[in-house]
Amino acid sequence: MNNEQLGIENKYKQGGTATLIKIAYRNIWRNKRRTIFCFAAVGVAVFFIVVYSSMIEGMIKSINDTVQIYELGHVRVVSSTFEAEKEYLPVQYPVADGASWRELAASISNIPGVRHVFPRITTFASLQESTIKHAILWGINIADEMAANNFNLTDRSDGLIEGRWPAPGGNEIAIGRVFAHKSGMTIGDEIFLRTTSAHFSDRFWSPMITGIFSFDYIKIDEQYIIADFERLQRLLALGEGTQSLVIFADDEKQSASITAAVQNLLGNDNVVTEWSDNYWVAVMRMVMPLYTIIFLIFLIVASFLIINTVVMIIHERIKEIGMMGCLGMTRNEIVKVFFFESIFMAAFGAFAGVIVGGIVAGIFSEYPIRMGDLYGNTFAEMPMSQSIFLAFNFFILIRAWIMGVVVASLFTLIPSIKSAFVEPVEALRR
Amino acid sequence: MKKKLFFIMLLASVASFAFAQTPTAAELLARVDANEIFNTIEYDGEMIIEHQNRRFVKTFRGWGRGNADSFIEFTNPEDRGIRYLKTDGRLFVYSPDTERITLISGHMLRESMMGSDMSYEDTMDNASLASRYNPILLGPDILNGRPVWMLELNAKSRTESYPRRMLWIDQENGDLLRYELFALSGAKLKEYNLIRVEVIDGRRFPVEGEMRDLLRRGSRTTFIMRNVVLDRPIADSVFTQRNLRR
Amino acid sequence: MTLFGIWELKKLALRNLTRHKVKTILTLAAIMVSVALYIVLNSWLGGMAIQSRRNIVNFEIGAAKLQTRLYFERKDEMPSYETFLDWEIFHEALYREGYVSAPRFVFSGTLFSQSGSAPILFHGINPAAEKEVLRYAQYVDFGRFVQDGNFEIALGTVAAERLRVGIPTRPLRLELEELIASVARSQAEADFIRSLYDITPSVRRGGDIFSTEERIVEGNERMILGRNASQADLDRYWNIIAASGRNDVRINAIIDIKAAPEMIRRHRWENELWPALRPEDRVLVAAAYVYEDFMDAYHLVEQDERQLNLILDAMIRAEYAGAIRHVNQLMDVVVVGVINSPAPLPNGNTAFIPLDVLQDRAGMMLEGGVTELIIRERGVPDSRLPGQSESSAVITAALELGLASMGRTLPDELAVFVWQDYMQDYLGYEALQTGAPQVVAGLLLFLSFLVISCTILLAILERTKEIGMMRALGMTDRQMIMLYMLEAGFLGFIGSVLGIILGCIINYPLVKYGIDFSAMGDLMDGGIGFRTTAIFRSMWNVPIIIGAGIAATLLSSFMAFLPTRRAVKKPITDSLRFE
Repeated sequence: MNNEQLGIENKYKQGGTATLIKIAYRNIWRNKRRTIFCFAAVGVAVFFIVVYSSMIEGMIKSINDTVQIYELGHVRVVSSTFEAEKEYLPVQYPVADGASWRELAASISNIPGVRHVFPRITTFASLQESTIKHAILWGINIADEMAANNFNLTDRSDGLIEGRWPAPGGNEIAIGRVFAHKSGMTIGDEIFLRTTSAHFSDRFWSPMITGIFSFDYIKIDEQYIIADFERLQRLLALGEGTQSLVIFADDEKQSASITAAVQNLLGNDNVVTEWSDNYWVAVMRMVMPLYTIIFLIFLIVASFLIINTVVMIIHERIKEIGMMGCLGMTRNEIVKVFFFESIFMAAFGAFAGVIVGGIVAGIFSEYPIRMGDLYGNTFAEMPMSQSIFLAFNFFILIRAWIMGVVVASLFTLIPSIKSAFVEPVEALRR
Repeated sequence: MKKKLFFIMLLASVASFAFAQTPTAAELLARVDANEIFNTIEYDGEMIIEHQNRRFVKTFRGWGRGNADSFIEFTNPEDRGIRYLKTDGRLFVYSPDTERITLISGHMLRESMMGSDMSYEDTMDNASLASRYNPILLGPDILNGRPVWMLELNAKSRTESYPRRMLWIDQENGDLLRYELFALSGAKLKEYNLIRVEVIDGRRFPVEGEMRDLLRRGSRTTFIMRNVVLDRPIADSVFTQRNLRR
Repeated sequence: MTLFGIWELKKLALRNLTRHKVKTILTLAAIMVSVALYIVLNSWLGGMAIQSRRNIVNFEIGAAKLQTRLYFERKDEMPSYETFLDWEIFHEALYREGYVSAPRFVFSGTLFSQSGSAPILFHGINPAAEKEVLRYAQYVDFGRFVQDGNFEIALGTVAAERLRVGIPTRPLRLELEELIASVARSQAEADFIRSLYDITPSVRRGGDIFSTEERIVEGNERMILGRNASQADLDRYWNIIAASGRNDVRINAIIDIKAAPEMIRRHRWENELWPALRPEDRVLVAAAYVYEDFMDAYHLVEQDERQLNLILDAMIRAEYAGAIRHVNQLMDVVVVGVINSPAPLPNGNTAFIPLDVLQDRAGMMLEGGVTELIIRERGVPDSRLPGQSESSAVITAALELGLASMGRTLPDELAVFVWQDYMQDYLGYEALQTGAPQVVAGLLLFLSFLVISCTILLAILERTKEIGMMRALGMTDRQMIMLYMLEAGFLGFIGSVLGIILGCIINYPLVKYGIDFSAMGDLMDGGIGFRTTAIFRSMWNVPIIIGAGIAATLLSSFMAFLPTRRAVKKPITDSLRFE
């Protein structure tokens, strides 16, 4: 006589999967210590994934921010002749052939999505009476730029640690913390430097140091001298022109459309670069798949533990399986019980990992990790802040949790299926 | 030429007399060395630099006294207020941006002056050519249709910046029409050509010349002098550091 | 309990492992993966580090350099006036004591080609000696290495591409057509050159991961020099290019000559020289010059060569500009070869020129002077890094011994500096880079130990009754603990062995073929970070491989200690009653 004839089937099916889940849930608590081990394994793996993804996202964000704030903005315009000789940072090739930057900025501002347009000058200077022989002069509209962006990404401030910013038009500069340390110079000292003007003339300048800044970005803290844009524009005989224009968009996603519009506006004699074209930004994007592989290896190793446990459970409950089979549970249902049990273990374990990982990421998203201290100046070549904030967002947490559950489930499917091949009568006899 | 302390002095003419018969090499060189036909000079200068398909025009006011002293002040808007003082074998620059005087020395001497085809060092040597070079008269030649004497100079010391020079001197009027500067290996580094001579107060005076640094692709610098006033006394105070700072 | 006693338990432990085959296999798999990953990561990073060091020694510096102390003090400025004479004698002395060496004169200058100019670091070398110490000469991509007596240079591939000299390997289509128009003397030659190139099949360029996208427009297609082009074809191509004059270049350099000035004007003496001199040098300098009233200047009266040299050194230390004269030099040379070695330095903005042509006024007026003598022990394999026998003290001693046998002594101003002295920056970088990724591998190992301890714990739980039984039958607690530690140890051991095997299998192609990062190298321009180019290779680090295995085994077996101890603490009766 089969179930159907007994009229059990329908009723049994109604409660079907829910009942199985209930059984599976109860089962996981039968051996608490074993269960906790499973939690721990998946938890550790997921914790690692959360923390590591947060760190990588944090690094990517740091690189993006660094590239955007110090180098390219969201979009940067230089002349094509400058681009051809960019390693020399020449000021002889201004944007749009020396056209007034204010007029250029005004027309660029009309492009939808453009929030700020700033002129910048970056050029080499040789220091005449200093232990440091070379530096980079950086002319920016200090007040405007500082209002638009946090130049110190770690403290989310303008980064000034001593004194004040150079006054517009004055013979004043600010130097980086590392530069100050290495050269032994401080506020009130004069730096005597030489640079080359837009007309190839030698220019000598001895501005006074009014401020010391720390952007927590080693390259700038070590090499850059910040001066007022207009002062430098005058010193270098740029007239109304500028060496480059950096454009900040309302949203970085608009960069591509702004790039196209600016290129269109200024023509082919100028090179318009989008921030995402930066080499390091591109590299970081390409490295991501590598990390996914490492994450998977972690999860697979953790899954071994769950597989192990499921195998054990099946072995241990072989009599039960026989019993259930005899009582009319189909093989499919028996497999489901074990499968759900392993999913529970993976899900709870992953949840624990997400919680702990999330707390760690959350803490370090407020209090940065000082990579600079850990690794010295290793990152001097990379456009990256010395301190890294872990990125804390729910996407990372959910992704890690799902990765954990899915991988563990897939792997435990195999031993669960094994339970289906237990012969009920045989099992009962053991 | 090199003896002319300051680059603008390079344009100063050679003594304006014709050579009656073939002179010796030493005579020719002595004349080139002794060619200051003025005691003092005042002029408005213009320097046209063509480099990397761009053209820069720089104007200045210049004062000179003998071989030893010169003073120039730039007047074009981009470089206004920059002053150079050459005195006593040393070159100083005053920059209005720093309000400070700098001695040009060391590695800087090798670099291009104001973006021109001359280096600072080119403007610096002050000992006479005759004391530094052995001249050889290569004989008569024709340059741009004019008969000239060709003179080759070889450095006496192995530490001379330009170990070899070639000079083309007009046979008729003694103008230094052309000269070339060579590297140690004998390869040509720079060349100068006289473009125009003016007669001022009855004396021949080179007012326009062109210098090319052959290593700078397609680059040349043209010097033009206008409103030249010769032999009007200039106060000592012009050639002082105080005047630089004024 | 004797050691033998423990070993007696092995059968039991092994048999226990076979009781749950799946469980055992999974645990083994976990250990295997972790050990393998650890080995591969370590070998990879170690491979990069050791390859970098080898490259520095074999392609850049040799094991050590003989230089003047003043040069070393100012090595960052490359003071090419700090030369020393008679390198042949030092070379011979070193050779007698078992070291090979090569003289070099290093100077900076600008190289002009038909299409542009670039700052280049030139190395005047003796080709025969250079080949005994360094290996880059074997890596001439196109053309040949320089030969004595000719005004010719071998140029790094980066500089060659930049100056458009020699054979372009990845030109844009329009660039290639331009080249063909200027070099091909016949249609046949034009077709021949075109036939050597392939159009890039896809939009991407470079390796797999670090490729960057390029926007393609008409004429902008990237052409790649075919990999299967025969040597004969390349030689023919090279000769076509050479015949066109495209390889003719000029070197512009400044010869810095040290010379105590014959005359110093009084105010320069008073304002520039005297205040900058070290007090102890003042006596020396004052004695050498006499003030002469009519000139208002100081005149050199010292005749003695050695005294003159001391005076010069004093002036240079005081950075007195008058002591160094600059002489313009311009040399016409031909590029005869392009170097593309496994190390970035010789491939960069670097050129090599025979030392013998630099001796006189056509060259750099060296008159026998060189800036350094690079040294390596004779007959050591390239793979060996300098050890004790190539330390500064040992080489100096050998040099002095060799000189003594020739009746000479080592001048005071010369000293031997080892390669590490020149590479402080790199060594710091290496130490940091090799540390970080191991954290990942460490975490994974931790995870697999969690798996082991779980396995053991479950085994103990499962066998609680059994344990009670065995203890009731007279097995001591220590024996029980040993039994389980042995079981875990076996797990660890077998897992490690499998891990080592897997690790080695993965590592093998990494060692043999490496991974090609050349696209990344394009952008990084060499010189920063690891001192390798293009192909990054792994290595065999036997101590790490075996050590990882032993550590994993011991740690695994330790994992069994705590749970077993707890189990044996239980009263036997409880154990027996356990369900």
